[in-house]
Amino acid sequence: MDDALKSAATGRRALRSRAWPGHGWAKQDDTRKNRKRKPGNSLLRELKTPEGVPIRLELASWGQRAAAVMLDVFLMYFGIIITLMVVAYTIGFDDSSSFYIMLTLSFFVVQNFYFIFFELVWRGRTPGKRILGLRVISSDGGPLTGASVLARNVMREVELFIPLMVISSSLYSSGLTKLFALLWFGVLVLLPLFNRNRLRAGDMIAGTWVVVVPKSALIADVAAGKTATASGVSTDGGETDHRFKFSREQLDQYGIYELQTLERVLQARETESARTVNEVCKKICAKIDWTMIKDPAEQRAFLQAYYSALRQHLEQKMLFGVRKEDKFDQTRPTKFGN
Amino acid sequence: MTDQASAGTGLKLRSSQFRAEREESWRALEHLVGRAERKGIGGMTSAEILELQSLYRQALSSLSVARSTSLDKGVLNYLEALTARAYMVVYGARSRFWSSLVSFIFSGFPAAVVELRWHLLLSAVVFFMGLSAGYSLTMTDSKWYFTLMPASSMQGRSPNTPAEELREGLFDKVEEGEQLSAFATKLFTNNSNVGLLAFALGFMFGIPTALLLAYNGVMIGAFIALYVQKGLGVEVMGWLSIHGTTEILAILLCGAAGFAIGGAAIFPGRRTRMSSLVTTGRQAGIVAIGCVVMFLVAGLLEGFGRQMIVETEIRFLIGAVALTFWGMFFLSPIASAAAGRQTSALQRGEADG
Repeated sequence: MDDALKSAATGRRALRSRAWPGHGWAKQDDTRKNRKRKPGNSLLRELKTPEGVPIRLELASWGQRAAAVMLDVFLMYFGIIITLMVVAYTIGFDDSSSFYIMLTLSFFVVQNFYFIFFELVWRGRTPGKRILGLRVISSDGGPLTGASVLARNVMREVELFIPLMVISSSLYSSGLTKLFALLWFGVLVLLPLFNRNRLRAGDMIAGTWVVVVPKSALIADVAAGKTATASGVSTDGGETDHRFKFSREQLDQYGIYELQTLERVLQARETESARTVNEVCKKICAKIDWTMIKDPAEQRAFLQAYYSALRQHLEQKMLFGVRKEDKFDQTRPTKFGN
Repeated sequence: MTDQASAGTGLKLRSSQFRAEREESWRALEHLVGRAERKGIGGMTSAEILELQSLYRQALSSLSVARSTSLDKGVLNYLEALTARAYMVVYGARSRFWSSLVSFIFSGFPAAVVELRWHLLLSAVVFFMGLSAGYSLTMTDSKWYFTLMPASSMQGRSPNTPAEELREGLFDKVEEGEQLSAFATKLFTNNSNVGLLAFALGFMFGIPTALLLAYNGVMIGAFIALYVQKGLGVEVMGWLSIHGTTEILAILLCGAAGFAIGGAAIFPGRRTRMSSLVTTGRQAGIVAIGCVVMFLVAGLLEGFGRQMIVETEIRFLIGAVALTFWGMFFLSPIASAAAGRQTSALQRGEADG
């Protein structure tokens, strides 16, 4: 099961290393090498939940995290300035020094406690992260503890705010200090790019990950026979299924990759995919030695039936532990083999 | 969405049946998770929360089954996303801000400090070595003062200022209005930054932390020596001790936290470096944020107390009280652990006898 997950997550790379017999590279156009690689998402991780089932999570990229932090910092300072201006207009300050005191105090308090407050109360999200759909979770699979939240945000004070303050402040007039602060800031800001799990220093000492909250949408089951047509949703009746009965060799031609490609083709709207359906039909008919079907509606029904049959065939093989990843993956030669 | 084909004589896929049976519970989970994400768990009834947890576990088991028996990519993607979202809702940080803050202040912070006692000893040693170095250097030749103190911290005080001016500086009384001066505010925010820097520099194996502690010690030693040379030694210790006990303790604790992180990186023991860093980092982070609060307290003491209280004896008293308070505060976990052992021993004694 783990292999299946890994190969689904990391694309074709996991399969390249397997040697397979009876394969002719150069003879065909559609070799594994020429096949367009699936956009390999190297930010997918598996997290073992306390129930023991691993779930798949996508780590937030550096750009997303940077955007969230910038949004948060903007909101923080914006909020402080607006509040102080409101107070200044309504109640008023006695003199400029008390205004300065309020400013420094509120910057101090908000800078230190904004992130901690929100990550504790909103379960690992700050306003910036919430807007971008990111979230902080504990990397060991357990609940996010207060200690982790504290640790990662104390480090943020040092990674972000202190260097920026040093660079912009007049108290540290030495150019060398400012250069050092700039280097410090640069290294720590780019730290997530240099490790596998996109951790910044705060994440490293707190044991947390920042992940993207996924969106879930359930699409219709293709094998159930409901496909989108121009007139709405229709179902294939029982009669059409009789015409399409496939033999074992015919179903052995393709693997899981082709099955899922076929699923994508069938889920597209009929008006947009007519040409693709025609192409796919032609290829399949050629491969399994079937007479070519010209009628578009028939083609769809044919592909539907072949999809269902192929899926059932491959699922049964999976139950016996045989997993045919794609059409090049052969455990034994077939009559129509390459 | 039932499997229509099974109504006729079409193919009855097990995976389609599997999906048809469970789809309703997945939809219910999706609905609950959506509500929890938008409004938070607090807005849900306890029946709904229980249902959420049981649906979450059902979805996890569906996912497990689907991964090994189903090739319906739509279902697999949907379940992966749904279980991830439900996991985040169920296992997010659930504590409320104020209760977790209170528990942090009264049990987490002292406990973490007790864990780091040896590192605290180390930072105290480094700091006082720096202090004695600065003091003795300035006492032998007062020109050292100019080398050791950065120009921005001098504020017109130097070996050249007459003793009377320095004395005034220690004891000037201010009017009622101007208590927490802007300067004091800037000072304690600065000191807090220095403390946090000491903590974070522990990341680099503790060496910059040691340098920072030593440097601060040197500065304070030189400062004290300046006043001692003009015969104001006792007065300056009083001046410092109002807020100094709290503030120096906070700096030492930040240094201890920094050393703890450095030590975790260098000596991970039997664990991997990352996991030892994580465990120590959580403790050290608690100590660091506690130190931020201590800096705030020190700043308030400095701003209000120092201007209002001018008798040296009372200043010493306040400093001693602060030190005792912090000592008792940080030793409270040891005391309660010892008390717990005593009561359980007593109970066992009674049971036997």
